[in-house]
Amino acid sequence: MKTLNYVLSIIMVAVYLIIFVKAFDTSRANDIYEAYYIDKTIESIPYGVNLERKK
Amino acid sequence: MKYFKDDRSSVIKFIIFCVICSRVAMLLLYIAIFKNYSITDFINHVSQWDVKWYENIVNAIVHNDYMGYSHVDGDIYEHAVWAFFPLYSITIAPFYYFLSPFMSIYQVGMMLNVVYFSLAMYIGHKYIMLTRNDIKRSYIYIFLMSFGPWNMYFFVMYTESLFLLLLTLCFYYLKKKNYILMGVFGALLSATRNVGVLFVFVVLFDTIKNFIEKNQNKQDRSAFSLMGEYLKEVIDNYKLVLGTCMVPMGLFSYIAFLEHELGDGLAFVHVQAGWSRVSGIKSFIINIKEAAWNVFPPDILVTAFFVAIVFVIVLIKDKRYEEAVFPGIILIVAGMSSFMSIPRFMLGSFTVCLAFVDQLSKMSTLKKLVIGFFLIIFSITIYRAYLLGNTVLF
Repeated sequence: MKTLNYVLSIIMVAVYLIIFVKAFDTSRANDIYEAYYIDKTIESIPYGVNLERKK
Repeated sequence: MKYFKDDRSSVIKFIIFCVICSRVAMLLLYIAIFKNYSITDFINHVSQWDVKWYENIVNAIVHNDYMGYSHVDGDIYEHAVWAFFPLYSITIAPFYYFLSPFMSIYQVGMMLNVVYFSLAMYIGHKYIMLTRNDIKRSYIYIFLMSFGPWNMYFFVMYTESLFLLLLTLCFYYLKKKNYILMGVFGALLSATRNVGVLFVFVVLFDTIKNFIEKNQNKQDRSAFSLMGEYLKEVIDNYKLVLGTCMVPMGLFSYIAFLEHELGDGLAFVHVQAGWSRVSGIKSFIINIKEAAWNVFPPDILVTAFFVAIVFVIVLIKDKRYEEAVFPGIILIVAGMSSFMSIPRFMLGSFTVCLAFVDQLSKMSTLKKLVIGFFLIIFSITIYRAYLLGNTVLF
């Protein structure tokens, strides 16, 4: 039980670190925003306004 | 005759009485101002500002198209909903799904908020009995939270009620040393609002305080030795370690979701630009200088900011460091942006209210009644301003 607790804790912290590091990589955001919107990039949509799916 | 009975039944009856009376009072005040007896109109009128955002999110969840509904009606708002964490809306969505033929979304939200708030009051009572062992403070806390200033935020479809409930549960189980339950409610807390993740600092300060109290007679030991002993004690407590690690789970789950859907895990931060919000240390210094020097007399929000600082200092003076750290960090984080919403943030931070109740409980009955009277008058003023759309006070 004790070991399981420690293993779960370590896994959680590792997952948090991975998610946190990946969050700073916004290169994929541009592709997704383009798929949703016509030609805006993450820099020019600071707030992702009016996301519309491309038909 | 004993007015403040400490049995469970009496406390629950008092909570129900305060919650119902305060909500009815809000309705009566609306009727008095607008001469409109329609309850539907009352509910629609008080459901303004951020309620619209949560309405959009709930509709998005109910229609199983969360990201599709990122497009908010351009006539009302022009930016996406990502700044608003999803857990509160997730709790409303299933009830609205089944109750929508009978109730509006605002009614469902307000009904749930009454439940959350009532539960928060009961857990707050249990926490006060655990840490202060004073039933009078418990009754004062319940009364002031129900009738005090800015109390409408615990009624309308805002996250305040749920956040207060989860935060109170976190504090309660931290003090009960049930760290796994603390972690569970902490994860839900950080999924309700991003500042919920700051509860890890409460845990840190609580463990340090407990360690210092236990080792007060070991002053001849070196600081490094004591630090090593502290770390060993914390790490040996595997439930504490796991519970603390669970707290950020809500926040990181949302980041992972945004990363998956948008490719931008920090979209909830980037979207703040849509409100033209700038933040940082420089902004904090400018805001403080503006509040303390340039603006006189200070407005309500600035006054609330400095009053909150006073009560944080009071908590530190009373050696309740773990209770001071949460509102203290929120004040700094909020101060880096603007003082808007400071009052409801402080009310929702739980321990600032406790600090006020602690000081009030030391006063004579007459002083309590006078202060209580003026708080009720102030509460009516704030609520009236809210109804009339005065944004200066929020």
